Amino acid sequence: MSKKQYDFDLIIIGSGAGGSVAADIVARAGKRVAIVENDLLGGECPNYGCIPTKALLHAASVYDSTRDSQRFGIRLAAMGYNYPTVREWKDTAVKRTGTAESEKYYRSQNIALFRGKAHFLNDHEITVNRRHVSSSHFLIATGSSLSLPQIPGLDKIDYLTSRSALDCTRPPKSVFILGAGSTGCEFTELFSIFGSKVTLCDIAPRILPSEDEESSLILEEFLSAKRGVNILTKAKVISVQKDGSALRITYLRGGEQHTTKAEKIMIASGKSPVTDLGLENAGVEYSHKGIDVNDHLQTTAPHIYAAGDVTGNYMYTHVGVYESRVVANNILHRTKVTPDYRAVPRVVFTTPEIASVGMTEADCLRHDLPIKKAIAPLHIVSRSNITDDRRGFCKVMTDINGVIIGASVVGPHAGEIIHELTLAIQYRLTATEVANTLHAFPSWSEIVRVACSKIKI
Amino acid sequence: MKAYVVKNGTHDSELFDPLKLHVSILSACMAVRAFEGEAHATAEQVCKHVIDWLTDKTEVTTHDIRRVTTEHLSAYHLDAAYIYDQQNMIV
Amino acid sequence: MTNSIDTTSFGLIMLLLVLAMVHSAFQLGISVLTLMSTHVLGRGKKAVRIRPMIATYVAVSILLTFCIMLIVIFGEILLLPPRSQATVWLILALITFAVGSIVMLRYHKPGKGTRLWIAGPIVRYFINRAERARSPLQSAKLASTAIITELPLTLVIFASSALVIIELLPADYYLTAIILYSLVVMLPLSIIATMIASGHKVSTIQRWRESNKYFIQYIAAFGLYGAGLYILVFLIGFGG
Repeated sequence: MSKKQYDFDLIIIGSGAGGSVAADIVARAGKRVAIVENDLLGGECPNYGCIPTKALLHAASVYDSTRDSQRFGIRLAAMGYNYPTVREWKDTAVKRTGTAESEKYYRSQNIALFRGKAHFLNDHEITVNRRHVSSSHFLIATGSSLSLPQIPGLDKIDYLTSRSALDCTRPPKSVFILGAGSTGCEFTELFSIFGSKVTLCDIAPRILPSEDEESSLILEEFLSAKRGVNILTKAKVISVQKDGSALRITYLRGGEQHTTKAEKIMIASGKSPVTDLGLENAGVEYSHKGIDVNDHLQTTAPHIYAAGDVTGNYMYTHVGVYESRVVANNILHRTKVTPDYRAVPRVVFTTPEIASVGMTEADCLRHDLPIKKAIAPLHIVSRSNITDDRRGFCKVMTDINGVIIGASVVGPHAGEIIHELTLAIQYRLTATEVANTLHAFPSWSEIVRVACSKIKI
Repeated sequence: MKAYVVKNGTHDSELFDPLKLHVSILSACMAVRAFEGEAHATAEQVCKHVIDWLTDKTEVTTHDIRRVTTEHLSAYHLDAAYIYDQQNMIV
Repeated sequence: MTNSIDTTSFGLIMLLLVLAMVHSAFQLGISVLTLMSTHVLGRGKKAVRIRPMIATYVAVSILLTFCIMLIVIFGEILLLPPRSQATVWLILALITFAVGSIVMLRYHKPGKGTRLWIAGPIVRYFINRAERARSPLQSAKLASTAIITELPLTLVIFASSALVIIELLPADYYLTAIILYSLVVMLPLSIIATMIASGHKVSTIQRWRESNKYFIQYIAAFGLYGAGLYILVFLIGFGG
């Protein structure tokens, strides 16, 4: 098929973070672009992921702070929540993202939209609802889906996922959350604030196993002491069964078998890239981890790119957006760009918030990197005193020349504070340079200055 | 939803026929001297898996059907899966 | 024509053996037999029904090889000008090198299976006919088609072997030599046919073929190079 015969210059499979940005950029450059979307426009993040989850978490956080407000002299006649109204708030937040109006926007940008599941017929052609469309380039941004663990009995019961949990009409009386990553911990926070008895289980030795150990410990302590969460680390669920109106969950821990009951079980054990779209027909290689891409995000078929969760690299919306931009550049220009992943911030929106960027201490150990590190506890900054929030710290790691290579912040607004350190890593600033920068008093960001100033070269 | 199967290298498609698949799997099992009853049971199970896989698809290629069938068949009978996969690659 | 065995004769015998072994390494006949057996067994009939078809296949292959060899020998006797052997050997040597190169570079297709570099329509013909083969007559047709399809590559081997037989043996022994040659060439086919007929799994046989396809290919190619070199050096160079 010669180039002249292709229907489009670029077909993007998936309208989420990894696809929509590239569509916009390439369409503005005058190319013929089409997007294929099987589900709601905008992908997971605005519809089922970040936005609705964080909207619910915000409502939970407001409720939680209000409950805790008496020590600040606030008196409330009655304290309670109305969960349907909480859900309405979540729906409002989702509606406000405007993704439902995306179709109009795409039309205005001359981006064709195909609704349906794409499947490759060959390396230049896909089929969508039996309509064959061809393109000179493709961008695969199909994202990821829940990875279900192989647990006997799981297929016979109704389990919650991060998607279905958003539509609960009320928080469950008790819930067993399988998977103590960021999603599991956020839903633990959400349900426990609204009164659910939560058990958080993971096979790893600590919750948030991909974060620094200090971060995990603080959160674990807080969840069990303040929220009454039963945390089961180093535990493996071996079966789930219905037991009347509840569920009986059997797990192995410490070499012994235990059983517990819960009204619901929620699976938050990780995600796997969506790759079932006939990639073999296009000569695109992939594995269970994701689509294989080179430094320019090209797959093994050079005219086919991949961005976002489907590559299995960093499963974050902001990384998907970034990669989408990189792909657009690489399609439009001869000089190809390589994405820089040194400073990818990641945030867990629990209380306290946990944010990190760059390398963790474990990463540095694994690579035998000599580092300098400093930890500044939160309580030494004045803002902590003002708000009575004493849980947390800022940890900064530098190489032997003092250039910041990794950091984590635990505490209120950690997700905002971390961006200063993200910038520092991106532009290879030293801890001294950051420490010598003015930080407003009494802001939370002072903790960054304090931590950086503790590093001596 | 009914799925269509596109012949490789062409744009012609036909409705997926589970019976045709059943017969080809059965043939592969019999070719490696599986017992007839076992072959029928295997074919039935594998067909179920393939039909499940096709649930959310409108159109796939013959290569896809072969690949997915081989994948599921190998869980039941490795030799049959090998022959099923290799049938068009012997000559 | 010689009546005694000497060093030249020994060289010729070795050359004939090498040519026969190289000829036997060609895989199309075996591939078609394997494919046909897969389909016949796949119909769920009792394995014993496959035996007449396999036996016919092998018999026709041997017979056709015999006939082609006979035609080539008599063709050479009748058509070759007298005292032209050196020229003929030279031509055969060059063609042997060419065929060796083709076999080295373009015999088995890369990737899975034991696919050969033959035209698409012919491949489709074999696949369709093998699927529909239900009688010994149909298997005979398949066998003969396979032999004829490979002729472009095997003709030089036939010609060289025929010339060796003419040089080496008195006319009384031609028939015996041709029969023996045909049997040696069809030995691998016969072995595989026997294995299938006696109950071996086609998958086991095919797996072995697949994992050793390049080995067989390179052995055949080097065999052809060796034969060509021998012809050039000993038969032409030292005046065979």
